Amino acid sequence: MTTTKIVRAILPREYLFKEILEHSIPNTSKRLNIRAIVQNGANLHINALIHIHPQAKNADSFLDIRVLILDEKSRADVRPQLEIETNSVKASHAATVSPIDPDQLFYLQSRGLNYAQAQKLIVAGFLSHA
Amino acid sequence: MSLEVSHLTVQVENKTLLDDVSFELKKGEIIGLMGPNGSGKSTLALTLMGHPRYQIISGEILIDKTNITKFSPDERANLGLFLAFQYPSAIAGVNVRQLVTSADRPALQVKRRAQKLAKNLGLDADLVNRSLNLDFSGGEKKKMEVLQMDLLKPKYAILDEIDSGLDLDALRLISDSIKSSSAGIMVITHYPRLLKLISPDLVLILKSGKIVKSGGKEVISRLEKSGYSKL
Amino acid sequence: MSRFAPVSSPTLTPSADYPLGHSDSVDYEFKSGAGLTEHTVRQISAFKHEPSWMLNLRLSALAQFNHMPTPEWGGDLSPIDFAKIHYYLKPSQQSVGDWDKVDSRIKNTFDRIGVPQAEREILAGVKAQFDSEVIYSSLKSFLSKKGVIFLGMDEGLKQYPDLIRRYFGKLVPAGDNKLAALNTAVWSGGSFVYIPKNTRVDLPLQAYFRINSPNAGQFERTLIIAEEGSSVHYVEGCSAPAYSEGSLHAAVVEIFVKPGATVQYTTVQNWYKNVYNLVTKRARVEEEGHMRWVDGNLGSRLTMKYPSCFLMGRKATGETLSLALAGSGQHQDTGAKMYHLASETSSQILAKSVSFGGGRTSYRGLIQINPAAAGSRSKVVCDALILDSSSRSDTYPTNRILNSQSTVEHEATVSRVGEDQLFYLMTRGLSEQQSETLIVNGFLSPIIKQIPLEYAVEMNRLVDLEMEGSVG
Repeated sequence: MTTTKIVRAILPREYLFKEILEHSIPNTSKRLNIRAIVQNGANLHINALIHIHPQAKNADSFLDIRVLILDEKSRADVRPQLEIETNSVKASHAATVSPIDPDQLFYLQSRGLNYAQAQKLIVAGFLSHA
Repeated sequence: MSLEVSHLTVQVENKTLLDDVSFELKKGEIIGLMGPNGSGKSTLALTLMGHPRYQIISGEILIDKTNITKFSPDERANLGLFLAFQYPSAIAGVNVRQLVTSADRPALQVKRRAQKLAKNLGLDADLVNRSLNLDFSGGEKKKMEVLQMDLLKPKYAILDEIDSGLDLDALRLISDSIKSSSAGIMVITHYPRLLKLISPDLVLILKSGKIVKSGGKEVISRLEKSGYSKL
Repeated sequence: MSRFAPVSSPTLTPSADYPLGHSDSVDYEFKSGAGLTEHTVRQISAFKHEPSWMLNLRLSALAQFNHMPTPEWGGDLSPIDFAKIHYYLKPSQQSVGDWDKVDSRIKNTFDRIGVPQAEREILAGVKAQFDSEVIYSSLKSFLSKKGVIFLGMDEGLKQYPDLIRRYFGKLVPAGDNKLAALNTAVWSGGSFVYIPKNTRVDLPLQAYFRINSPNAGQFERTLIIAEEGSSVHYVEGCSAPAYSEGSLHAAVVEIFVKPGATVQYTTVQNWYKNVYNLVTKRARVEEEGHMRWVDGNLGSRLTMKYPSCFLMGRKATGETLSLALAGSGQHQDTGAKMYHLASETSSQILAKSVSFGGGRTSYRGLIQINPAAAGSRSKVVCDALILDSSSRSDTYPTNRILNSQSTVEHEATVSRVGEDQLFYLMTRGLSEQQSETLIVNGFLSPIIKQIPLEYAVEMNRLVDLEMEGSVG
């Protein structure tokens, strides 16, 4: 079961996004995607924890965080954490923070879109891509 | 000298996958095992090798008269049984030579033989130094299984769909390997191609976990004409 | 820790600093009382005949140490009683012990990993060493022809006080953290390495080549300066289990990588299981300089160590390869920190850990990309293997990105040995334990490959040994 959470940090203030994936009984599977954009001087803090308790045998947990930083003044602080207390698990997480890919931007612009339009399209695609 | 399977019934989570299967594989002979998808061919291969997921409800497996039904996979390997997997595992940081090197097979010898065998099988010699099966093509993985068989020289070998993903040249190389081996070999396959090249002494057809046909080469021709559904 | 030097204590007598074996047996009967006092610090400095600036540094560090609280964010440091520790012990110049009294587990390990008899006794703190004299003297002349300085820190301070004063404490000041303050107050031993401009040192400099120098120092202080365009690989440590009387080790390593220089610092640590190993390791990397930390943690009761790089110049790169093994009663709290402070800098962290028998491994890391560090990249990969249900693994990374033109990627995976992989290996005749061991060694191999061969071989064998009895 995969959930996707969208975070739009688009005002010039601090944003704190916290998430905990807790596995405390056997045979649970949790998959979470976090997609965030940071813009206009926002400062986004993401704290996400996967916690697998000793009795949670056969846990399957996956967390994927992707953050797009859209302008100069914006910032991100991402802390994906794992606390795994048994070995009967499959747990992984990934976190990527990046600006818009200049090659993608160029490609869209070569098809006639201006910067703002291209960015809008890329962001929309980014937020909907699970 | 033979591998005897006697009235083997196997279940996984209370579902019966093999039902009263019996056959004898003699050293030096070749048995072809065919059957439609889901008939239990791989189940048989993995059970013979001792995979923990498969529960033997009744029956036994004997190697040269020793009952190995409760033996661990390595104990069976040490008695001379080999399995070429349908889906060989990738092992990061471990190369094929490390698997095979032991007291009886010193490292330098293994290295030389492995490189020679790789060449004979049409494999890039460097593959014997890389992480086993990691990012290898389907054909390369199968050839690696055959290479291991040549290095380990088992008495009885089960080859599970060794022909999938191989082109005609590779097929010929492998069938030569099989024909020149003195082991008792069970070749599990979907397609008649490989069996026609190796001329098995016996052909068995497995369907829904039961052996429904057994005979000589004529079984293959009948299969080619009418498929599995008519059996 | 120096392989050839007595294990039980740091520092040495001044006369022994002179190379080529002119070790007068000036025998200073000095051992500080327990606890850390101003008196102890003055004694240490006086005993070493240090310049007054160093004494002042030590004293102000002591004051800071007394003011700082013990950190609570990492492993459990509460059992450490600073008042009970001896901060300065006289080294043994001759046999100090009895081989028979050495723990049989240590003896067995030496057997299994093939440590030569002479080395065993040294490592077990039973015998002092003088055998490496011959090797040392030819190494010394080879190095001095190139203008390379490689001395024990105590000797370095005597011979090059001004050079050391320019760098000592500039990367890791006493106020940085409580253990750094402690080290600055009572440090003794460690290495001083200076590589002149455009000089490449092709053979790894190993701590054990420092004859008669502070060895298994509890409070070693190492300083490495690599001038423009130079390169060096320094290796510290030993994979044979090192028994130590001192149960607290707080070392500091400062490395200055000048423009275009390349430094690799490899550590293999296998302290006995009573030791708290708390280390601050930091490198400052200037334009187009490259720093690589290879950090192998096998022993100790608790290790807290995060080799870090301050990437100060354009296109500087930093890399940490970290390996941690935690068995019963052990906690490895390790990782790395990378600070990107200039444009187009890049960093990489690869951390692999294995926990078994109730052990715990924790990865703790920081990537910080400052506003000025445009066009920077960082990639972090942490893989943890947990072998049984009583063991534990954690990952605590922080990724702080303060500009919009950089990319940071982080991935972490925690898993156990795959049943299919185990089965596959067992079908080739390996027992379950041999299979598991092979898989664990394979898992660690990308990092072990970066360690000089003789350590790597011992490490593999040590992993095998640790794995024994861990299956089930």
